[in-house]
Amino acid sequence: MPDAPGSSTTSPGSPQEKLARRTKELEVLQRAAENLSSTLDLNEIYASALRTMGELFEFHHAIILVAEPDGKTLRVVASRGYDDQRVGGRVELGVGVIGLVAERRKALYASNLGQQRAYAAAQRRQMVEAGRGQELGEAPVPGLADAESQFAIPLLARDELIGVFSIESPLRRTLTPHERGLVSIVANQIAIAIHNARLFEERTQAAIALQAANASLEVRVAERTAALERELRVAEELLSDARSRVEGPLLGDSGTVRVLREAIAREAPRHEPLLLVGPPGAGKEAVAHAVHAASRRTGAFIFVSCPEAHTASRSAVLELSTVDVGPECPVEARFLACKLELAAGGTLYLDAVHELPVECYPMLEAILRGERVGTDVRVIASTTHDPGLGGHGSRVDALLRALSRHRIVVPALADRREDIPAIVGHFVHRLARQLGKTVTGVSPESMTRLTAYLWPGNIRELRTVLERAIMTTRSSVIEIEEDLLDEGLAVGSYRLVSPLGSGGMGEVWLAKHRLLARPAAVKLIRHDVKQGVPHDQLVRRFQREAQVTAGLRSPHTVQLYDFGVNDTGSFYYVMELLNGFDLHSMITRFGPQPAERVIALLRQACRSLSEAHTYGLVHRDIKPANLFVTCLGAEYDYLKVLDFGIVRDERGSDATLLTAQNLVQGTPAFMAPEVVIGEARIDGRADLYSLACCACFALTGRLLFQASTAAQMLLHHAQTRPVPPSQMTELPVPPELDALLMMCLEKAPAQRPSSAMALDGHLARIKVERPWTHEQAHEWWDTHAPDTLGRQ
Amino acid sequence: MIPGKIIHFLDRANVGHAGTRDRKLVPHGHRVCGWALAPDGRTLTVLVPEGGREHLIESLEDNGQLAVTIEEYPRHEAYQFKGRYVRHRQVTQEDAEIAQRVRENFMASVLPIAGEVAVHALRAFVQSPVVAVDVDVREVYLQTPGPGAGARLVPKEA
Amino acid sequence: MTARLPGEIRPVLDNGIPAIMVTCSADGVPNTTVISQVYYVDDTHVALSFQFFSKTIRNVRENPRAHVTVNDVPGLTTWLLELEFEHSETEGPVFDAMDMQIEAIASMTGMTGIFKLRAADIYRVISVEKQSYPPHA
Repeated sequence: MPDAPGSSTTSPGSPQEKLARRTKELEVLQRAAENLSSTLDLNEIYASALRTMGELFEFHHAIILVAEPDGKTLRVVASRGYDDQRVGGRVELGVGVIGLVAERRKALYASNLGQQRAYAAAQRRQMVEAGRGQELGEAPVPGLADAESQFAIPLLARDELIGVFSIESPLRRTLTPHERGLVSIVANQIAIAIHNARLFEERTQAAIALQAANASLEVRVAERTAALERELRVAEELLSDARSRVEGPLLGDSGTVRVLREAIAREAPRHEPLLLVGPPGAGKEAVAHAVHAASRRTGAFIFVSCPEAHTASRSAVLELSTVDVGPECPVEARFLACKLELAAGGTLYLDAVHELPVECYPMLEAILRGERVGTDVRVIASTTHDPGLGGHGSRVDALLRALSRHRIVVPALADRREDIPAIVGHFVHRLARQLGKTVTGVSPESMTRLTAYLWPGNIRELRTVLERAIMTTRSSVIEIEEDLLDEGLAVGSYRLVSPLGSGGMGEVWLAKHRLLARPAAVKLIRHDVKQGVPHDQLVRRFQREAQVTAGLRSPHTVQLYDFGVNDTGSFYYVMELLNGFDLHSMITRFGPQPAERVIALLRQACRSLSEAHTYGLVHRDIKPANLFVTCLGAEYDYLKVLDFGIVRDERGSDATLLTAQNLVQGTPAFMAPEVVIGEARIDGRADLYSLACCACFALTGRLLFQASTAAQMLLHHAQTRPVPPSQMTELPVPPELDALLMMCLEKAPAQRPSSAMALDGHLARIKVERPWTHEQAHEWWDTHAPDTLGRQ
Repeated sequence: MIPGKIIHFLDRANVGHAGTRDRKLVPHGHRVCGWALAPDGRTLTVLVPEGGREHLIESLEDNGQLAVTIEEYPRHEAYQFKGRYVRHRQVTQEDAEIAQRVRENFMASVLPIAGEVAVHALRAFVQSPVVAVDVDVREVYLQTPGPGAGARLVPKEA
Repeated sequence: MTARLPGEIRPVLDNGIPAIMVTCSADGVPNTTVISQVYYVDDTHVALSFQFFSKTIRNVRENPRAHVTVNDVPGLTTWLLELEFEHSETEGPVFDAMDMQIEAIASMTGMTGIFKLRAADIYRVISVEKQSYPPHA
């Protein structure tokens, strides 16, 4: 077989020529090494490698492939000298020369490829002639169809396959071992350069990712810090406000307040219970805080409003507590136990302890006897009733006496007038800051008035007056006018003393007549309910409502003394002041009532409504909050119907609705179906429906329907058949009462009792085992609300 | 006995190589620079240059075994002729012309793909014969590279 | 007896030019064949590829002596090698290298998997002779 023409078997030339060639090769290699090591840019690496091949050997066809992460393919990243540059093309490992080199990680040198192709072609022809042509595959076109030599070398870095570097030539049939050695040197440099560039890229990406994460973290930290700073500012503001409430009452330099401060210092280190006695608003809570602070107890100061302990079942505190007091423990006592747990190591402050639910007495008495160990709680209680005077019911008196082994009398503000300037200055500063007002102080004349005033509401009233003055002032020096002080805001002939409550239409205040000693309740109508309605129209409506109410004479309807529009433009009613409980508060506080008592109360409501209905007036807002149970003289469980504010004249007069919006008026939980669906003619039977809803609430302690939204509630009234109250309570409900209430709850008014009078008659005929008596009522009031007795 | 196809092949073939063995069964290779088939269709005259003469005659005279592979390059179509030595003689002018024809065939086939190889080197590859050996061809084998190489063509394999 | 291959023969062998191999059967019949590559193992050994079972393979299994002619056309030189078959290898660096070469050429020419290297036959070099010939006049 002839030798391949064109092969070079020796390095021709004289020694000088050889030396010159070697020197040039070294220079090329050095330059290549410098270029490859001075860059971390992959494209520059590839370009430098390809250029070097041309400089070294005049190999003008070169290609660089890198291994893909899948470990199965190689991807062309750079090439030179090919018509189709092929960058991005892929080669499978094991396929073709390049794939073979990558798979076996060994260099391959193939020379005289023309001859080898011819040899192979002969073999192909022979196979075809022998009938084995189908065994032949496609003859793939190599890098160059006419390549005469090819040298492919794997690029390895620490045994890791980086890729393949391949050169070929259509002219050079062979490479000498020396030349192959030079290519190998360059290939090694390429491998290292690519490896380093990748490492650098990976680390750069990691650093960028870390930077981004840090930046994100910084942003989140900054946001969180800002949020915390906001929370801190709010907390500081609340603390400041709390402090002002606490500090204010203890300011001053009068002998009285000095005695108070000395008492605080004396009582602080003790562990025994402490009773604070003083009038409402005198600062008993502030004194309790001061005692706690001076005691240096490490635990928290936990406030318990004893009147609110009656609604303990809804307290979130119960959900958080880990106290195990047994399944039989009443919920009110459990509530107290939870508060006790929170106060561990600190102070438990029982505000208005005389209103503590009786269910809590055993636990408190055990604490007072020192029988509850392991909690280390100091009990401080407050009361407006001096236990020494007695008359609060035997058990309450006993409790107060047990608490009063150590006591502090908190003086009324009137007993320490010298302190008023200091207290005023303190509150003005704090309140102005809170309200965002620039107020520097009070005028001297106003200070004189403030100092001279009696302050029946004590420090609480003082704070309220100052707050109102700062809110309305347009000057930096506030003026306190006479009328602001003379027992409160003037409303007609009355002065507002203290708020009693608020409702959908407005606020109700305790008020006093300028001249008469008779206290009254004043209802101020909210300004926003008048929006959009012309003023004179509003006045006419308001007057009509007041006239309607004032015209009703039933003793079971609240008496209206007066009505009008005050200087600030607010509408007001003046009504008889009632002491007792509205039905909602009573049931919430004392639970479902026996059927006989509920019947007695319902009958009284029927009498009130009967009169109104006789005049063609429909209340439209009969609900437990508008059924007030009081004591009048020697009569107990005396019920009065309140709030005829949205009375509708069924004879078709314009609606006396003090609202600009066409909203359904009434309370959703007690609303008659015909009111829900907006029937044009509504009569007194709508009130009977609502009254039956109230009766169900009184008997069961639960609303007739359960709903999460007002719309759902209204829908139930319109569509859902109610469950009889006897099935909603474990207390006995006479079947006749059950049936009668279900009759009142018929969707169609025609199915209900024809009138309130008729309903009263039905109620009277219900046979009960033990009718509710006067004695029972007395006993109940004596037990549960002794302070109510004798106040009317 | 040599098929016509192979006779025509012999006209265009341009590379040859012979093999003998000595009495110790040591094989020897010999360059071949020409060939001619006698009219009887079975006597093949093989022309050997100086470089192929070593061990040739003594091996042939010892055992008479000769194998000649003749190829058309670069197609690599090739056949091996095995036979018994008949005689050898001095080359004639006609033999030199036969060698020249082979040389020209070789040049014509290889020069287009020779690339940088010098023309004189190609010309020198087919040397001038110095001895002619007549072989009585007994078998002809396919020798074209591939899985079928070695198949006997004459006489046909069963 | 073993001869050393001179360095100058290496590029000729590495050229991958088909060579001519003469073997002889045990009953004395010579056989000439074309072989695709003579692989340089070391200075006393070469390897020849064994791709399919042929007369040549049968002969050297019977009679280990072989004669290989390698032509260096541009060098006006012919190399004559007397070899003796030593053993076959089906794995190892020599086998891998020869296999890789065969695979590479096969992949270039659409004959992948057709001519698999069955073994690399290792031959000891008994003698090596360089024959230069003059240019044709």
